[in-house]
Amino acid sequence: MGMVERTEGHVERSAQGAVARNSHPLSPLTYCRRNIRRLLPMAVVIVLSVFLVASVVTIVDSVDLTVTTVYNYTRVLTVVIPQRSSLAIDPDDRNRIAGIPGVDRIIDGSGFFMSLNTVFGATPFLVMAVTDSSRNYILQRANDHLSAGRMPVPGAAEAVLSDGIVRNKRLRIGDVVAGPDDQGGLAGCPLPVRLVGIVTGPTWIAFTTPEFANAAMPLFPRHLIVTAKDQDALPAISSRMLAVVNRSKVQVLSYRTLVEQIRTTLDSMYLIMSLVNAMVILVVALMSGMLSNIYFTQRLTEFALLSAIGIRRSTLLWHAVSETAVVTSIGWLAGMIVTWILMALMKESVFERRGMLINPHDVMALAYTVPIPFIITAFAMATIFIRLAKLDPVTIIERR
Amino acid sequence: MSVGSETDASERITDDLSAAGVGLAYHDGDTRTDALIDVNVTLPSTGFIGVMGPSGSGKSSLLYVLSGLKRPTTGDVRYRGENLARASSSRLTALRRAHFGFVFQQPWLLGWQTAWENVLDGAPDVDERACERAARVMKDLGIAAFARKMPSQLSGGEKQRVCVARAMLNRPKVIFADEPTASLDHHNGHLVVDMLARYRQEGLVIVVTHDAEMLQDADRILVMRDGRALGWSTPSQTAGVALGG
Repeated sequence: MGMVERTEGHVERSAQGAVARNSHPLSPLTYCRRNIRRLLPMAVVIVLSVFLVASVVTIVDSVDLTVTTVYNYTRVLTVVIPQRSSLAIDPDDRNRIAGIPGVDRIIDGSGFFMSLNTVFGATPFLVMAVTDSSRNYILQRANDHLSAGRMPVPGAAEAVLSDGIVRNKRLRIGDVVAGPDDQGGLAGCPLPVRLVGIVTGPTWIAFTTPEFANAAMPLFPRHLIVTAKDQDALPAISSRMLAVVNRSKVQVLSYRTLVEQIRTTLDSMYLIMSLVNAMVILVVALMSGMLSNIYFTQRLTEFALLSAIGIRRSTLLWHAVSETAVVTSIGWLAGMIVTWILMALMKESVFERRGMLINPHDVMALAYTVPIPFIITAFAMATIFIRLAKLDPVTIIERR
Repeated sequence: MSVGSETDASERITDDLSAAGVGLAYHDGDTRTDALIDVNVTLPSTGFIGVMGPSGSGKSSLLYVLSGLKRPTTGDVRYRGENLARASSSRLTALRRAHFGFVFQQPWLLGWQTAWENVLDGAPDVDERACERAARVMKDLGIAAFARKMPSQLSGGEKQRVCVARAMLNRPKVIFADEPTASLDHHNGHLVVDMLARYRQEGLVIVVTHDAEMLQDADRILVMRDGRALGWSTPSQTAGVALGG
């Protein structure tokens, strides 16, 4: 093949390629693809900022996740316990609760508390002592089922726990789940209780037998477990309970009193987190905007040239902003992937080892990082707009 | 192309580019420098026009004013009857895109684009027609072999030829070349000027230079000094004149 033919071939291939791809020579994707090294620092800043914001949100959300997971059983049932030195619920209060419309069952319960590992430290968790039929009824309401081992033998120092609790306590069947050596426990068990079965399902729950509880802990307050015919009506029934019982004698442990009260106490922490995140996003946006501005300054001759040959400033702004948007979008996506990978590793190596709950794929964390690319792009757009408005192509191209 | 509303129909000089009483002053603090003083010039619609003068004579400033890259401080610049001195920035940009081509002193190319893509930057729309035209222009200018090369792989002369191809792509009515040979050696300088000169059949080519030898083939040469247009000359009259640009 001759030189001339080869030469023409180059041009024809370029022409065919450009038309076939319908690619514009000023395409932001082409720019980003060919300037990876130049754009890498900005992308890394975005990745790090996304990771910072997302990981803070994920870790803080682990508090809420812990609360909702540990106390999720209160969506299925409400526990009514005697106050102060009483060992049982006053019959009048029991009757008033029974009279509330929509109540399905009132189950007599006893039991003990075991401790769970949470972000708050050791947290007491009720091991309910109910009859076999009541236990099966509660399991069915909670959508839980026995997945390993067996149910406790009446009178034996045995318990069955949800798999989440088993992971939290890093237990195996046969291990002691509670006993006299428990630290930070509330009304713990004076005898070592062994794990004999594992329950699987959405609700963390723990059972022993009333025969064992009554024999080993005769002074543990007897409580009531109240369920609703319509599970969705349980919050309203719990509120009604608070209205009808003598609250100096009885405490109602419902989803609202447990979870929502904890959430309220955490409001200040969430506010601080939101402020920190807002500051991080703002600082990162400013930093990235400045980086974008520096890149723009480095490319001023390029933009001046394009302006001189008649490309509208609005078109130049569109190209510059599109390039920034591509970098920030890729940076954000990479940041989320990095966050998910690192949080999954942290869950494995840090949180789960300590029995703590964390969701590495937290949607809320994702939502908190969404403003980052938008703010960076908006900031870059504003600064580039100002620079382009003042652009004098001759001054830059001919350095006059 | 539309004509500016401020232009009286009787004043129109169809297809011509003209400057009337044009002055251009640069301000640097309290210091005022008059780059152009009362320049009056009328240019034809086709041909090869040279603008010569020593450094600081205002030849480049005249080019910028005629092309709408600079607004004159005083006077009018008319292109096809439209007064560029009063046109909006967006109108001037559109005019440069549709009617003018530019070759600057430095062979400015976008470093991240191939030579082919740099040439296509001169097209208002990158469509099949523009690609065919780019292929033809590059072939005609003998730079087809550089199509896929990046600017960093090209010599100064090769880059400037790519710039010429970009300027010609859109079949402009006027090509403005500001010292296009200043950064080139003698051989490449002649190559570039020859390419520009060949365009005289299609439109007007205005080449600013201080090197009389580069304008041997020009139809006419405008001589500038101290911001004033001294008058028209011919290549034979300016041959061998060293203006020390």
